Amino acid sequence: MNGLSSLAFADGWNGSPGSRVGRCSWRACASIVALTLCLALGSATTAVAAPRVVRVGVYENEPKVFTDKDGRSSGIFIDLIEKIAADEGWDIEYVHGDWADDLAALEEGRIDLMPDVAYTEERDQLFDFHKTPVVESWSYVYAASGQRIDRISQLNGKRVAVLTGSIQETTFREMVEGFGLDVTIVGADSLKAAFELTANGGADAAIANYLFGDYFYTQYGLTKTPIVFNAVPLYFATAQGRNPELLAAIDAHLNTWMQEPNSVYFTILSSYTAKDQARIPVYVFWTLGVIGGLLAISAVLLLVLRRLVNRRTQHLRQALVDLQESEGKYRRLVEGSPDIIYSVSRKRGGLYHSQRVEAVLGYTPEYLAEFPYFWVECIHPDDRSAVDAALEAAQNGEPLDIEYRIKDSRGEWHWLRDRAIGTVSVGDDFITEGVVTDITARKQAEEKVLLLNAELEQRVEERTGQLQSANKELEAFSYSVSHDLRAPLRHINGFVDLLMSRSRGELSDKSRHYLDSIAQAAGQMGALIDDLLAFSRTSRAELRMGAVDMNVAVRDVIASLRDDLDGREVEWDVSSLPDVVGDSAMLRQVWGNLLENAVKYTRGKEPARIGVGISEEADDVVFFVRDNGVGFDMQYASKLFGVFQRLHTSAEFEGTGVGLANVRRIVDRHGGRTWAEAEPDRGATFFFSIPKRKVI
Amino acid sequence: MLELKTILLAEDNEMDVELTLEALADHNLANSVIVVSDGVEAMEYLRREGAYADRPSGNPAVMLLDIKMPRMDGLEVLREVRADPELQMLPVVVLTSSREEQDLLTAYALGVNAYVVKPVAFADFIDAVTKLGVFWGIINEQPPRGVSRDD
Repeated sequence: MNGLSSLAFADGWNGSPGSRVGRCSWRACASIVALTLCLALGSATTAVAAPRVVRVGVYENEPKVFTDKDGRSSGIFIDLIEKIAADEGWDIEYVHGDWADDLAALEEGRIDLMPDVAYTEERDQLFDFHKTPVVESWSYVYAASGQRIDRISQLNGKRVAVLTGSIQETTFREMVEGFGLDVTIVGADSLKAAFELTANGGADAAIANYLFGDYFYTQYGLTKTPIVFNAVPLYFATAQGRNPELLAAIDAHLNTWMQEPNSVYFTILSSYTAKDQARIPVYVFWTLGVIGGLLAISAVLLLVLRRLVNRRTQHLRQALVDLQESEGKYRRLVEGSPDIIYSVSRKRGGLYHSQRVEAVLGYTPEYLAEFPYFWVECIHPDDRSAVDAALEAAQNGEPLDIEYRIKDSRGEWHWLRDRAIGTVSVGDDFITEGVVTDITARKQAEEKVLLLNAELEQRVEERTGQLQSANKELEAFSYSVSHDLRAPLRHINGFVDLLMSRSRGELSDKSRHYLDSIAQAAGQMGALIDDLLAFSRTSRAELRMGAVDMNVAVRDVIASLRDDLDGREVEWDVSSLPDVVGDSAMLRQVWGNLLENAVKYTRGKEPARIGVGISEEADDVVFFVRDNGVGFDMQYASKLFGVFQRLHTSAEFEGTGVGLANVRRIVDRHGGRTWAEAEPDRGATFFFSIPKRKVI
Repeated sequence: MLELKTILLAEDNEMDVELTLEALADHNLANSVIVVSDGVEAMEYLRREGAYADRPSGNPAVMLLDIKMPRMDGLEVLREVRADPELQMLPVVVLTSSREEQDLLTAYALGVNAYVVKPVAFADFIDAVTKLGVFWGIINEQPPRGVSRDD
């Protein structure tokens, strides 16, 4: 306590700013002398072997000079003088006391060096100072917590604690009065007391030199303001004229150290100022602990999250790949389609057309997207209302499937078939998606077909007319044959008969033979005419279609043929036959002709073998009659079914050559076919097919 | 009773007429045959008009009617006969040169009583007139053996 008050006293000796300028010029002049002395003394000191004992005063003015808790002398001035002593080979001896005692002891020469002495002209009369100040001290205003003081004017009306009787008290009072501020000065016995007073609410702020203040203000919970004043240089002092070599050595060291930023001087200085900076409250550690814990938890959470994210990312990546694949697939399907796939909005027109549109119409999908109503404008004027109506209906849920014409980029018309896949409502809009197929080729083909059909129909009509008239002529011809051609024949027969019956006895044998020949020829001619008329009848008579039991038909025909067999032996092999749809009488005629032929042409074969059977085809039933008769040469097979065509002479086998022509005509009229296979003397097989039909 | 025995033969072909008359003569029926050469003449005879305006009244026992004749064919004659109340009961036998379907169908539709294929095959003719029930009306004498057996 005494030390602090002594310091205040010593500081109180400090000169005005004006005297400071004077000291500076003094320092400049003295520095050359000091340096010379220092060098001279330095060499002198090394020359002297016995260590020099230097007595240094110690009092309490932390952090500059003080006794630490272990009882050792400490502080900025002490640490520095110990370094210098180590270099100079001095033995330091500390003399403990208070400021006043130590100052008196210095004057009397009981102490060689007194630390932390501010230079004043008064002191200069009594003591010697070295030239380079150890530190310069200045004062700060430290404010109580909650007080915001950034400018001197903000001190107005405040209570400020000041060390009683200190130089700061005087300077501070003068300063605030100079600014015209109303400040209440509260006296304190020590700087610590001043800080405690401020911390406890006894004052709003405290004044202290920065070395003390910066060292302690956080401990008291105060804040440092930017208000600074009263700068004072501090030195070691010695009794006048006693120890000039000590002062020179001190200056020499200080000057050297101050040149180097990393020197001992700065290390010591920072060790006393850094201390308070390093002071960290407990709550900071707690906070740090909590933060650390939170960080650890966060790290764990982070790991878990990262795994989740990784897994999710993996899924998403796979989903993306799947999506791209799927998208690619659909894109290929859509863009590669030979049809145009589109979507159209009721409100915004055409939204999308697949790539194919360019090949069909010559407009790119991008162009159509840019002009959404262009498509509609290209539609043929005659078709447009129908398209509008259909689209409207589609948006109301009806299926859309229309055909219309559209003009391409070259001005050519295309026929399109437009089918909607579906319509969805999006907000108050409707989006219809569909497929458009270019059916121009089909339409042209259809038109051609229609034209051809019309032509064909006309031709058929013409041909039918021709056929009808031909048929009429044929009917007329048949009629005329039946009446006119038969009449003379009849007359020949009639008169031959009359001649035979009336004059037979009067005629020679030869004449009778002639008459027989005439009668036979006439009979033959009559048979030809009858067959021809029958043939013409089969061509013209209307078919009376119905179910025909072929088994019965064949059985009846065979029964009627038995009379003609004249005791010949015939082996019949008749398979079971299916029913067909046809004209019963005509089909009996077919069987009659074929079986009659078989019987006729197997004459001389013992035994004669005649087989009747079928072979079914997809649409037809094929019937056949097979015999082991004389057969024929296949090269004449084409003549077989012609009218009056015969492969044998009448002398060999009687007949008119109309039977097979009749068969073919009847089978033709039933929609079937006729053909034959044979070999001379190895028999023949006659086939005819009848289409499978349902009985109506 | 003479009228009952009369046979009206409507036939334009002279050879057919000759052969028919020969055949009827063989059976002693030729005396009672009136021959007309077309449909118009046949109707004049039946209605006692024109050349036949003065003939005694009464219908023939049967009319042998050829179909194909000049001016008015047999089917038209048949139609007129069947439409005439005086004549509609007259037995008519159509002479055909063939079994031409359409002619026969038309003839039956018009109410023909029988048909005989030319030249008149007498078995067929006798069979036809017998069935018509005019046989005894036109024959004076005993019928031929083959026929009498049927009766």
